[in-house]
Amino acid sequence: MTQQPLLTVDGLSTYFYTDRGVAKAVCDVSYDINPGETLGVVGESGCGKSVTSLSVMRLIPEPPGKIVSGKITFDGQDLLSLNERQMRKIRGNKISMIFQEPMTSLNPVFRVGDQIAEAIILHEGLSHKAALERAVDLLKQVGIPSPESRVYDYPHQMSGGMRQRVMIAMALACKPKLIIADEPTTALDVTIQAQILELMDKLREETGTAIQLITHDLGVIAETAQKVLVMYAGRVVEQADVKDLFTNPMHPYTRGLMRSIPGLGEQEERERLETIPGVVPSLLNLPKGCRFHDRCRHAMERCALEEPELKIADGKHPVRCWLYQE
Amino acid sequence: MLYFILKKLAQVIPTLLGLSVLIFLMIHMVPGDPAEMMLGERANENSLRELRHQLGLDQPLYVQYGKFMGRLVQGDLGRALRTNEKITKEIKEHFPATLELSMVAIIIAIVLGMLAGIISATKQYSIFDYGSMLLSLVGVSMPIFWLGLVLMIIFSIKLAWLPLSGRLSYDIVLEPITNLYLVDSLLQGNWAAFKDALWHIIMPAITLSTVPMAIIARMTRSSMLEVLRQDYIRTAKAKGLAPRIIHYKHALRNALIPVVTIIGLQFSILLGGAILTETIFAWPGIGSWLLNAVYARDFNAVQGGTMLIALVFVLINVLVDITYAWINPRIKV
Amino acid sequence: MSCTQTANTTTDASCKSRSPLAEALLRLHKNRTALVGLIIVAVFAFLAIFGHWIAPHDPLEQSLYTKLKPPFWMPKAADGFLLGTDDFGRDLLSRIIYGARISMLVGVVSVSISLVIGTISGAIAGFYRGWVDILIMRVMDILLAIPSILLAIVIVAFLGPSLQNAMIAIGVVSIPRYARIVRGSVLEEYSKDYVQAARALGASDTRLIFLHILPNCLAPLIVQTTLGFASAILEAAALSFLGLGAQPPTPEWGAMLAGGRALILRAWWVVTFPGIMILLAVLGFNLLGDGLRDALDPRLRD
Repeated sequence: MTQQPLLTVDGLSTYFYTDRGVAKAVCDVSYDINPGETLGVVGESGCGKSVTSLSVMRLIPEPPGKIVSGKITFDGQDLLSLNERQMRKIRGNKISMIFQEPMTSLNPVFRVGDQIAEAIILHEGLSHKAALERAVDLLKQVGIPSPESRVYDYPHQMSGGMRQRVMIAMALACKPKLIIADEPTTALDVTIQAQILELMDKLREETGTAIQLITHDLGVIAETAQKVLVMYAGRVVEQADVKDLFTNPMHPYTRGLMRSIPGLGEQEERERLETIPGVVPSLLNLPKGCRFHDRCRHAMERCALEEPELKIADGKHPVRCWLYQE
Repeated sequence: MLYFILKKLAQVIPTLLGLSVLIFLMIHMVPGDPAEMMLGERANENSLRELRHQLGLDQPLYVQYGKFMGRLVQGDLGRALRTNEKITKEIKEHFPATLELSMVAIIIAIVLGMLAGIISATKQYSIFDYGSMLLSLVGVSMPIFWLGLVLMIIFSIKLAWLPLSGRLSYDIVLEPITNLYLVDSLLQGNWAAFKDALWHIIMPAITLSTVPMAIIARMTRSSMLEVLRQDYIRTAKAKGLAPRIIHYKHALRNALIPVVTIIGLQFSILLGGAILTETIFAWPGIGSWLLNAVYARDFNAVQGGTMLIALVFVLINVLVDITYAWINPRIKV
Repeated sequence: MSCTQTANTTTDASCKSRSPLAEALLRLHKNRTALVGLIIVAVFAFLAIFGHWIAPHDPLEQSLYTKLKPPFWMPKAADGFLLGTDDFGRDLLSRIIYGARISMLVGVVSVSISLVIGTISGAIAGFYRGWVDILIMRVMDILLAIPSILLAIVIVAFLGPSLQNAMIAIGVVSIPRYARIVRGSVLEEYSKDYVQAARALGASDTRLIFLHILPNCLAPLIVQTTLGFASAILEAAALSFLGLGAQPPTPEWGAMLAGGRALILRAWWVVTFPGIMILLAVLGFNLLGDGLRDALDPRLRD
């Protein structure tokens, strides 16, 4: 385990400056990913998962967004110090992304083959013909039948699952070291979801690429990830290996998430499914103290006053909760 | 594709037919007798009767309409009352001037309008954005018959840079081929004539292009802004593409789809505006010809000219539909 | 994405606490261009109503002694004629002030014609559907098949040139715009439960259309009416300019331009000021219409 991490995010904070105040979308987030590893980032929508990954890609719309502090090191390079031109050489080449909405993430007026080939031509300087041949191989690799003809399809001629496969092929096009997948299966049917996850896992083993998998679904994490980051309202609240997290979830929010999926809750609670009461607080108007306290069934007086640190508790893994701290 | 075009053409036939009925009825049912209007109130009964007979006005309406349509499908619009020339011949003489003016105007409008719209959208809230949008607001509201006069005062009278009116100076000789003077002079390599024709067309073309340009600029901007918010633009950014490629390849191609529809609608403004522009600049086109027919109460010519302009307009819209289908792969052709 | 979304939803949530009217007014206020439009329109309305108190001269009063006097800042300007005079020695300022009244009148009359006929025919088409719908909308298609200014010219040509006939022609030409809006909303609203409920309670067709369905397309109609004023003023000025609308010596802006055309070599001011008035009036209504569209119906925004 002395291996150099592929990606190190250290103390990242990204804010959005809106008419109605500053939205602290990501606050002091740190994590790292090793080569060939899958990191799951989990939390409800609006908790900063996507902003974290867009920050790594330096794709935060600016203004209103801004990376206020932190350090992102990828493959020995400090990403935040690169200029736009250098950054473009990394995007789609060494780091690529898969987005949530396969229906809208492909450009409707271009053939899928050309859209895959575009990045190859740009980053590897292949001819259009050679790039299109690579696109056919990629489509085959992601399990699209008769790729030789499908490569000339327009996006609207494909189903949602097919389009997500195209997105994956596009992400794989330049053999990236890291793929950031932002809710890649959320918009798909349940049966298709499993296929896509299986495919991603297979490709990770084959190509040795690392994956940062963003999802609100702990079930997905359980199947694919090695490490997990639980986020809530812009903060990391718990960080653990996947086995550790599922055998010993500590943060009340993590436990709440687990109770809300069938067949994953703690022994005695397995019988009934639960939901976490309330909603994620507005990032413009965060509660004082622990950001989760007003939805937490274990909340104490202290929780409303002071925010806990992210600390290793009981010698196991880091968690941000007063229940485990003195 | 051929089937698609034929279908579109078939769809416009009822509209054109209805239009012919409407114009026909307007001429024949409005109070007042065309023969009397043409000859004046003091005309004697005999000559009136003779003219009515000559025009077929003494026959039942449906017979008259039937005859009118019978001639129309053979491409015969009858004779102009004031010159006794065939209307088709007069239209043939005047149409190229209007075509040339409209083409130059729409090219100016599309090129400058789209360019302004694209730059405004990609540099939203910049000085350029505010400036061009303010200008286009004014442009949309512009009375072009006034703008033409103001341009004349500034560029012809005060500065004396451009000729005041007409298509060509009297001392320039040009063999007619297509009767599009810019094309003809180029074909013959007659540079003096080309320059002269160009100098003459600048002011009318700019006047005529003002409103369409402003509308195209506004539409392009809002369409681009809408497209730039789409998920596939984020995908393109994540691929590492440069902003120039994202804007001009990925965004523009999508933004064009609504803009093409708007450009089609501009021909209505353009053909209407041609009447005003041609009047101001003494441009010998179909617009000023039609207006003179209106002044002279030459109803045959008005009927023929209006039908022709409607036909051109409808055909342009078919052309727009085809272009639309061509740039938007989601439409089945 | 997720974080910005949260920010947006909270924005929306806090908006909902205000009434729709207050919300519309707030958005109108935020939109500065619309405010400018409102001010311009208000000024023109004021000129139209109180013009006879403001104008320093009778707009028709001629004088051989004050022919073609330039505006006040130029040499040889005549006292009391701020913007100069035309070739009959009439005060230009007074004439363009009275012109506001005529243009506003044109707007009111022709927009009323198209609004009333367009709304009724659109409502009938959408409500009764079938062949009535096909017939009405076919006629609308035909009206749209010719450039509107050309159609107006043809109509005026047959009715005879006068301001009254120009207003009728302009009114007729824009009927399809209103008919399409109303038909669309009627078709949309008709199938909704509350209409069917009212119908089950025995409401008559007229009552259904006017009390239940039409209020739902008020927002786009208001926007179209405002924009309709702009195009009516512009088209009326164009017709008058071509000698097919208001006749001299009526102080109508377009007619004034036509009268001044022969003078552009000698007196630029005679054509400049009426044109500026047309531009400003049309601009005012266009700005206001755009602003109202943003304020009343966010879905229609571009």
